[in-house]
Amino acid sequence: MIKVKAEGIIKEFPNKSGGGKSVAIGGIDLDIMDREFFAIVGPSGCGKSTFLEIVAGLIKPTSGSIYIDGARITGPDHNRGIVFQGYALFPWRTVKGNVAYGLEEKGVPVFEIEKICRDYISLVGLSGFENHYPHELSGGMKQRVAIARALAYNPDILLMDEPFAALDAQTREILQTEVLRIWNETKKTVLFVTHNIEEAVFLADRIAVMSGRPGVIKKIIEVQLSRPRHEEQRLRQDFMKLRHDVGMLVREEANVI
Amino acid sequence: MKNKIKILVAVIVIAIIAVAGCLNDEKSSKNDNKTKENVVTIRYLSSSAVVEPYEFASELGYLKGINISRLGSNTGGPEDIMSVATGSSDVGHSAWVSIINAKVRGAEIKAIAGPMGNSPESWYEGTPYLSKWLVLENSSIRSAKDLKGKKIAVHTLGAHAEYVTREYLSKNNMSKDDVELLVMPRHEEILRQGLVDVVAPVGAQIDKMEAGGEVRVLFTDYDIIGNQTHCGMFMSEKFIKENPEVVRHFVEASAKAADWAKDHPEEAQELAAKIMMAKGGNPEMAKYWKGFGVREHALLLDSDVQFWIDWLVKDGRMNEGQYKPSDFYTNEFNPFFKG
Amino acid sequence: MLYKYFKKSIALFTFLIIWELLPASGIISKTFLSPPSEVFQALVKLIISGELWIHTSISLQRAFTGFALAVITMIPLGFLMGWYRAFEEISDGLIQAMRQVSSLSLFPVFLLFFGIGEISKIAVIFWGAQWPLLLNTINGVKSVDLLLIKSARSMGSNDISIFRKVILPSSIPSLFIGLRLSATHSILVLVAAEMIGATSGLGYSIKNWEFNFMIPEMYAAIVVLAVLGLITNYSLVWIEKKTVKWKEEI
Repeated sequence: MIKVKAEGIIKEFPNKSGGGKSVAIGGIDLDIMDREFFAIVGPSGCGKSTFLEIVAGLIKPTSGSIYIDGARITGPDHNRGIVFQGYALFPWRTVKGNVAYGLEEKGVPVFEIEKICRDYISLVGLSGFENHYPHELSGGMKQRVAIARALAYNPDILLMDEPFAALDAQTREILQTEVLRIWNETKKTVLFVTHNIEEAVFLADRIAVMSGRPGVIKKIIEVQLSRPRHEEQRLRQDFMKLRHDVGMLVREEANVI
Repeated sequence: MKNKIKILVAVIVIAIIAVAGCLNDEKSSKNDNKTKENVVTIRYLSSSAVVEPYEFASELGYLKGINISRLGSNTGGPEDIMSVATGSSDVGHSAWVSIINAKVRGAEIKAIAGPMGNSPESWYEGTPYLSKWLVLENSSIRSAKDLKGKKIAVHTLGAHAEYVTREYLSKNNMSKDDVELLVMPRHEEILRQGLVDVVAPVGAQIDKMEAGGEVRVLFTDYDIIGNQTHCGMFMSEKFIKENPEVVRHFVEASAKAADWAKDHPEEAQELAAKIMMAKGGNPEMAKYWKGFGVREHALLLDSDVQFWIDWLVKDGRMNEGQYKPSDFYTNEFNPFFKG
Repeated sequence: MLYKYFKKSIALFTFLIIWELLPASGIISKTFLSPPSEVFQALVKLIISGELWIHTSISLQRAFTGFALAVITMIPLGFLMGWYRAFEEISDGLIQAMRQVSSLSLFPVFLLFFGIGEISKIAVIFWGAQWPLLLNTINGVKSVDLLLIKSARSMGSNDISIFRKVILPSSIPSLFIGLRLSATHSILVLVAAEMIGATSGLGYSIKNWEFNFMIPEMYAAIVVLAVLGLITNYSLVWIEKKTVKWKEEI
């Protein structure tokens, strides 16, 4: 079942200086299946984050449409949640306050919000930290809060924009495993943007390789590795070959930009 | 921590030494008014809207071996007093109230001659005055009793204008509490806009306002204090003690200049215009200058000062009998003084 | 604990010692620089006679009114200007120009419009107090992390919700900076404000006592003014600490 359909997405931005336009996305058609873990990789500046924000409804495409469950989207909505590289936690709200935000906007009654928050805070492994403020948390913990917040109002789709790029290698690997666990438990559709190829191979069912200027999807690769994914898989032949192949594709595109 | 305290103390000690050193340098250079050719420089502050007898003396060539050097303007008597008392300048002038106040609180200055006053003999036109109390032509105020509850604006409180006002009220059986005495600048504006009922401007401001019409004089300070040298020209006691001959010559030259001005009104007004212009002032204002208004030889009298002492005592600012006029001025450096 | 206060006051004590020594040693004239001991005596006299309270209370009234007016008008205006770029573009030129004009140079205008009563004095205070508030509020709005706004939008917030739930809380630290600057300015500008036809007040007293050579009294008033400014500043710091619990200590 197709969960997210991108049809003919083109995005142009006017040039800040000089005049004329630059084409960020030159035409993307993409189908993402229900409950799929779909990754997009590509060199910096190829437009993958822009595409993610278009799917989120935060940016309007110059032409083309996004369909979710067959319905065209017109803006952000509660069927999608987004996690940013910069956490985007509200510093003046506690962990619980942050997680509650989407629920408040959705109009969920107050007495329910309390319980739902606790459940999702527990899901991301932060029970006991409900009343902490973001500045008291480590990077990894902040990102867990961000995930809990994005999931709390139960969107079908979780969009993640290079969520672990700001974390150290160890924390990143731990959170990669965590994300897989959470995905498995909540059964969401995940669209994951990253420039870390190993990360994409470890997490995804399919990987789209994007080229930039203009951004288009060069190739979609199936990741035939068994689930659930384990740390040891990172050292296996098939993993490393896949990583190499995807890496080659990305590097080709990088030279063009 | 111990080190930090040591450093802090060291810094402070160095700072004190440095400051003391700088100040000492200034003091020593102050004492050295004599240049190589034995010419003494006497520094002063003076606005471009007034002229000093010693400025006349300098122009007329009466000052031998003395150069006068203008350091700039001042904002009034008290500033002039502070400048002389601390040795930044050597001569200044101020109304008696400020001189008395300052002296009583420790400023070591003494008046040695009269720089300006209300003496008819050296006043060119009409009756002398320093200040006139003006109302609008159509004002209902015609006498003292009409002032009840009204607003009177002066330039400074606790000075010449305030006590003259209170003497006027007192002569008419009223007191300060019957009126609202305020400090305000821009007398012409506030009177004409009706913000206050009476203003007490000084000098050329009066001429300007009278020229503009629609104002009436309620009284002048001459009506109250009469023929009085209402300001004192002072120097620091230290300077006087260390340079008595210089002071004597300076006073003599100033007195001669004042006498010359008394006897030569037209030339004096021309000279006044020249001096004001050289100070960056408006030579047009010179035509409003009506003379120094000092009595012959710029001598001072006890009665000049006693009036103000009496008021300060009445006001509780001084104890009765604690001071007498000769504490504040002396004629001993004036060669014309016989006494 | 006591040690902490000692550390903080060591600079102050050193300053007081130097101040006491300078006139006593004759380096600076005693008549014009009263040592702290004399100033303290004058202060006590003023307190006992009740004079200090009269001047302080009326000055505080004026300062507070001017400040309160600035708060009521400038914070909403600052939010508007920070949020709506069009509005800011229209008004920015005028505001930058008016900022350059000091209260002192506006005296005649204040006189014209407000006469010589309390209003003109409050106007002078308001004039100076408004700028830090306005500019810091605008700055607070403008420096909101755009990522936070994106995040809020993604969770379904409309503009009003974003303003209430993101812009406002995010601007509070900047707002407090503005409040502190504005409040202390209101106190310090009393000297200028009370130059227009005042007969009481701390600022008025400073000028008046200076002119009358009541120098120890003058310094006493200066000290009181400074202390008031300090109290104002630290009160606001305390309030901020209580309201803004989420800020990281640098």
